[in-house]
Amino acid sequence: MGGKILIVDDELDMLELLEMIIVERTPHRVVTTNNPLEVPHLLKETPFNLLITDLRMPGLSGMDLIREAKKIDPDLPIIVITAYGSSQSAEESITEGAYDYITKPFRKDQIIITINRAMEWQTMKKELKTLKAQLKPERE
Amino acid sequence: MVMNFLDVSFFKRILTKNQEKEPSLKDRFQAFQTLLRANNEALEVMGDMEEKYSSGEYLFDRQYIRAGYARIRDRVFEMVEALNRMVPKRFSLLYDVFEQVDQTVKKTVFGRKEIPYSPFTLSLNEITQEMVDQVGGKNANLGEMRNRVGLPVPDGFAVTAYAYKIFIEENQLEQQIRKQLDSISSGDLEAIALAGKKIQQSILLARIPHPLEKAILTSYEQLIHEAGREIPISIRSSAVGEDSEVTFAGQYATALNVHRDHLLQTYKEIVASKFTPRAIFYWKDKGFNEEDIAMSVGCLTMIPARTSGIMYSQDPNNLAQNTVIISAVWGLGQYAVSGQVSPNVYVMSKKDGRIVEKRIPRQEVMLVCHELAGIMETVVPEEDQGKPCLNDEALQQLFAYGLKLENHYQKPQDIEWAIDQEGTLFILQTRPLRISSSKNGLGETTLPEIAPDQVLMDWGVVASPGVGAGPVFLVKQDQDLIQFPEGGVLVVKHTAPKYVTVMNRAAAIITDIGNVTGHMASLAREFQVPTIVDTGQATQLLKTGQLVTVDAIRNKIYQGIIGELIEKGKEESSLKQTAILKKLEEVLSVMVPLHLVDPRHESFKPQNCRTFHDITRYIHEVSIQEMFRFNEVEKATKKEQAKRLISDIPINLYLIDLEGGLMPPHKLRKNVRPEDITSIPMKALWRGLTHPGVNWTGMVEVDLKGFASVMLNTLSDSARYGQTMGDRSYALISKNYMNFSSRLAYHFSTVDTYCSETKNNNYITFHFMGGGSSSERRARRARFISGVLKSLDFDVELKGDWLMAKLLKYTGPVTEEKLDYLGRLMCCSRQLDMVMYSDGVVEWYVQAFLEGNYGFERKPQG
Repeated sequence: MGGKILIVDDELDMLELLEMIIVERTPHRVVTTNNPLEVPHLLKETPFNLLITDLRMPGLSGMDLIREAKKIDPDLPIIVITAYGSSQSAEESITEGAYDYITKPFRKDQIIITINRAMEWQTMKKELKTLKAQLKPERE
Repeated sequence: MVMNFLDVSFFKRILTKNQEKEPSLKDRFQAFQTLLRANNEALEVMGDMEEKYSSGEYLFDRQYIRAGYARIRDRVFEMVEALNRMVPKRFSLLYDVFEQVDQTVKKTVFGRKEIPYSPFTLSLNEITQEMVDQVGGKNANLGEMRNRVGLPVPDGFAVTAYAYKIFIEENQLEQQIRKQLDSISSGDLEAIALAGKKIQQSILLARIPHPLEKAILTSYEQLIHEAGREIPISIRSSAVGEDSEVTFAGQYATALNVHRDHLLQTYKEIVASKFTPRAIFYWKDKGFNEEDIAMSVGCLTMIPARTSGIMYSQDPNNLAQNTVIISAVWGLGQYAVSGQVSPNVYVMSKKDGRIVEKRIPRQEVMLVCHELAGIMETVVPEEDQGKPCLNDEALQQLFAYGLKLENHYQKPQDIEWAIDQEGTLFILQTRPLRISSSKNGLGETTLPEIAPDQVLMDWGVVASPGVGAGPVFLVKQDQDLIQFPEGGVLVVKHTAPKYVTVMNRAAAIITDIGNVTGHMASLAREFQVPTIVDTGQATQLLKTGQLVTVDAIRNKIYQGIIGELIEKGKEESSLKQTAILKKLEEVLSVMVPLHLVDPRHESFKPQNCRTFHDITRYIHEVSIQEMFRFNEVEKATKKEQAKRLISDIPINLYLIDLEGGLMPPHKLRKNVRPEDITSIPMKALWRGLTHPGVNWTGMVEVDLKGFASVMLNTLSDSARYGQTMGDRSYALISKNYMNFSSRLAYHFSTVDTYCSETKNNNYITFHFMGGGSSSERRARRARFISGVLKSLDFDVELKGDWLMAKLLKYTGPVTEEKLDYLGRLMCCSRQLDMVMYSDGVVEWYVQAFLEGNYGFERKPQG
């Protein structure tokens, strides 16, 4: 089953490439934007299964973006793309709630594997939630 | 990342100063080592970038290209510097060559398009799509729609990017902007916002140069003349250039209902609107360039719209539906996009224009032109408030225009339109529609259907996508590969990297066994050879010479050549030519191609270096030559401590330790012994020179001298080489380096070698010349040496009795082994010229040597 992925990167090239390979190799649908300020609006408008974002962007930094996105959808898995040599901020993004990070340049299979894992994780998390709700209705 | 580019001229000055002093041997050697390291790093980065390009398996961004360029550039500069330290003055031309090459590469890397010259203003009547660099995307599309598609677009003109350039330059705004940027850090968003405000202020206060002012007003007069009355206009920015789209997308400023008095001021406002915090953030990172935001401005006759809106020629969220979506509002269009009011929505079937869905909410307020200037909100007339703003006729007209535009641009469009009070429809803008993409409508469906009876196999696994066709060539053993025809389809049992040797000739590859993740598969992708692996029985089903078409997109192998499929296959792969890949290709094409291939060719000169790779190649070559000339240097630097080597073999050898070639000084005596040597290549050569069975007897100097002098006649080796028998031999050594000049008997030879763990650094060069006997005999011996060295994988050049042999880039252990053989050969060949009585014996001696018969004893026959 295909999910819906939102990709945010200020470099249009990166957006184009990511979109191309995700569409080519997965059943998922892709929406892209190079304007991070647009993201909260897009997330509120329609639900997404995954957010992929660059860290270093003008206007709204990747870190702020993670916080904003988590406010809108706490279960949304987020994959962070970082430049070579900035693993520290990548790790920070994980503490902020990102699911995983990947360092540029990366192989196509790498991002596809990461995406698939993130999607599975989201499905599992949702199932877990449902199960929990079924098991302990009195607490809800 | 801010790139810290080296100021070449500064280094040049420093260097010329330092170069006045002759460098010591040690200095030269250190420079040489630096040079080798830099050479390797530069080549490694080039290799990495080429891999990223050709494999098609990586995602990277512009930063990757910029960083790669900076690394290569810095390493190449280091090489130029190192060579000039090794050999002062002689190669100073390389600084200029470097700078020239760098200019070209830099231009390509940063892709700054020059703003083309054009008039300050251009009428929409003379604009088409191709003029995007002059008038920006929006204006170019307006011109295209008006002049090529034949759609109604309001009259108007463009103020060109060139006009912008002149405006910025005449007011020296560039300097002001740079100053603003210098004082802030890119992390400080408040400072950035403030700098943006200040820059915008400067622009608003700037004076429009008189000729530009005149051009704008004249074009405006022309509009009035055509309309026959004073008319207001709308003024919009129109971004120019790929990079500016990347950086500044979505930042369009617009001014509506502008009258003559405010024309010029509004132009400045539109220009200033480009200097947003977002733009400044980028300039801080990249360095400001006026080309980055080269901006054109569009001036259109204002349409005081009764109804306006947006049309998508395709539902972006539901491609399968195949519908056109039109949204419309009463009044000016701004409310249709900003969400102030709920617009009418009409969904029409793309097939027949039938309305499949319609939503008509009530609209109470709308935007209209103010009678003086600008726009204002007003109440929608009571009778219109709940009414559809579009009638059938208008809808059908819009629908037709939408399809026409999509067809013209071959992509779904996002179209802005307006209908004036008289009911005339105008198109105000069109641009590609942003679509959420998925597999639908892409890929496999575009390939033509091929009759099933032509399918030979469809059960393999695609390892490298594409379509290729040609005659089958079955390879059963390695020797068959030599016969592989250009354009053949390689059919083999197993995948193996060795097939890379024919990949540049192969149209496709099919294997019985193999997997997608294997090494050969990745090579096939690198070479873009369509490949299907794991077919199980291709080698049984296919025969050499049989014509097949390999469709490694849908995983099918067809009988015969299917031209149509090959054509389509090409289109498929060209889809993969994304902007960033093109960029990398472009950058590689000015950095990597090697033009200086043959050091012997007269074109092997610094001034013929066109790429960074050429420069590294040139410097690497001459640096090795310069190291070879060490023995000349040695005369000039007698101060260096030469130590005599005492050993069992009769050779008058002195060692000069450059660094780590001998045991530490405190452990050394005045004369060193072989066990004191720590130089890896010297030890290896020594092993050869002292190899059991290698015969040093008969090397009695006086006897030889007497014997040889008889042979010599008047041909004077002494005159040729400036030496006499009994001269010393020298070896300059370090841990990994050796330059060994020997005068054994009457010939002169030099071994120059580097032998380390880094394969790329390793080399052996061997020069040999001379001898005591007749020229025929000397040439025979040289042929003997050449024969042996070729068998040892050396690359040999031979001219009479002069010989040069080279061995490059073997691993450390292999290089040592070759040096060992070279030592044996040097010893064995010492006096062979004396016995080489005919051409016929040369080959026998080569064989004898290779068989380890170093004494050249003839076994009794039978």
